[in-house]
Amino acid sequence: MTTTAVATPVVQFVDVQKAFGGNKVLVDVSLDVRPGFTGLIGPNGAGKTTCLNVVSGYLQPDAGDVRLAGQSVLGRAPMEVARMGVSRTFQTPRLIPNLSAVENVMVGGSRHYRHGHLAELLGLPSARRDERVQRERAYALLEELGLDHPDRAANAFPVGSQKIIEVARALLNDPVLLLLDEPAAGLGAEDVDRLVNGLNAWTARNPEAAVMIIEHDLELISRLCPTAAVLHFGRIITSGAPKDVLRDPVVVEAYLGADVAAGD
Amino acid sequence: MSETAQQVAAAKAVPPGDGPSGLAGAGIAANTVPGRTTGGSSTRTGIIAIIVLLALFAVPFVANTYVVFVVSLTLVYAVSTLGFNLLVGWSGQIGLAHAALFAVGAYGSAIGVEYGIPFLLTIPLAGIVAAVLALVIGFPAIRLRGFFLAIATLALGMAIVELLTMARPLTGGGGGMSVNVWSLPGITTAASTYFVVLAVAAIMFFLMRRALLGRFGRTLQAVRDLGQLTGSLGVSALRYRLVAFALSGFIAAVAGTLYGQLQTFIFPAMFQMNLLVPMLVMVFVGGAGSMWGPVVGAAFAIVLIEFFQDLGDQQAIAYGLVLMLAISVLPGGLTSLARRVGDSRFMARLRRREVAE
Repeated sequence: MTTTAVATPVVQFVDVQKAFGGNKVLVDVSLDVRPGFTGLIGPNGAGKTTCLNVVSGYLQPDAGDVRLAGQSVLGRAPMEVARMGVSRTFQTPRLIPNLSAVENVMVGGSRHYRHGHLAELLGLPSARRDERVQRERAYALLEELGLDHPDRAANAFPVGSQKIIEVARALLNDPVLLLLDEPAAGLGAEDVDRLVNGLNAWTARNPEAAVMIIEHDLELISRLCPTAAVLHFGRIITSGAPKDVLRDPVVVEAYLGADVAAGD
Repeated sequence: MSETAQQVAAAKAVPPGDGPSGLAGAGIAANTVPGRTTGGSSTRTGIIAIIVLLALFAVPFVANTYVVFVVSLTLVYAVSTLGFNLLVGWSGQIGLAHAALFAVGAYGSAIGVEYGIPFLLTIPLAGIVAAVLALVIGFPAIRLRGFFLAIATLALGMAIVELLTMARPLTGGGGGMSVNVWSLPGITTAASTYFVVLAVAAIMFFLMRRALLGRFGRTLQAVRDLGQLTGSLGVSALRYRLVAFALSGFIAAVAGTLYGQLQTFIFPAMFQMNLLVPMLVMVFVGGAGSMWGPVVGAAFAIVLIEFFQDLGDQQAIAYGLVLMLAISVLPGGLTSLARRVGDSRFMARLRRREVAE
């Protein structure tokens, strides 16, 4: 873990501000995300998903900067940011319902196709090989994440498995930065174990990549993330090792206190 | 039969008590994409394709001129619907300029031949002209959705037909123009046209099948189902929508060139609502977004056209009713029927098994 501690940040949030109308969602977010897992936690409405939307190009911040490997992502469309190596999943899984799981994963491989559609239309051997390689990689990723029956249509899977498929789709592009928005919500304990094992195996192979996880399942955060940042009313109130962060009285009041009060 | 067996196997593989109940389990099995990745299935498709092609090739030798004409027309509509289905079914855009682009093909080819271009060459040329026109239409249209897209493209399509009417020196205006029919030496004109139509249809279906079952088709469906979210996959939704417009326009015009050869006389009124609505019927009755729906839809429409021939101006109303019926009763089209039947039998079996437990 010492190597990751000194590694240069993959993504940097620099004084990021974002308001919707009069509602300041991100008041002032500064955060360095280094290779490996980083948890982003905080109560509902704290601005966690807004942070992901700002990095992935879906929202432009009002002020501040977001840098990916030192390069600003501001002003770039989601497609360009994705081509820079940012992959993400969504809170509610978004798949092509009548395509098989493996073909849904293959849709995520845009960075790996070197051939135009014309080469595919003509059935050129190199284009066929590209397709075959991506298919095999998609199968391998799904297997690593513990998904059975990869040839089944996506809409036939329960939501938990659909989220796993979405994670595999995000991984197929070999991201530099992987953004996971509540990957464990709706997953059974067994599925969570598979997800954790799959993600650990993937990061072991891609030590340079950073994974940012938004999650309410704090146990998952503790298992995966050496560091967690707590977002509260649009500010990072603290960050550090999950077990320390979760004991921080400020966090307990802001985050857990709210949950306890809600009778959770 | 083997598909059913596959589904049974898939259902048995669902561990009991894993998440949702048996009902969802049935859904899983029913939605299995059968044999997409197995080599055996693609070999089988190839063999079926060759048998069908041979059978179609034999038609002019065994059938009379009328049958040859009807099969030709069916194939022309099937090609046209292949393009329309690409736009409407696969890319999810209700663009309604298809009949007009079909007209561009018919007129473009007829005019080209009059200016001395060989007919076979006018097929791709007219296609390219229509593709460029479709790009012009598509450029604003890809930013619109649903109803607005439909209205905008409908208006642009009507403008194209109107322009064809106004270009009297070239097109003969509202009175129409006759088409020089190209013919292979040594066989009848009807048989010759038939073979050209068959060859073009075979090439179009072969290429489109390859494109739609590969990355292009997958990405189009992603654009249709995920919209702007495809950006996060590194895919430009707008670009794919535009390509769908151009390609669908190209195919429409290719079909149009053949239509002109079959009809031998073309006039603007042929390419208005009385053609557009049956074209929509072909897409939706066959099954929007399906691979072989265009063939089924075209065959269905040919029968319908025969039935409705005597209705005169009321034809469009009749087609409209059929269209509404098709969409409301069978949203997946006729090609989804077989799967649906399989499902229901399967659901029943599964329910029985649950009762037994």
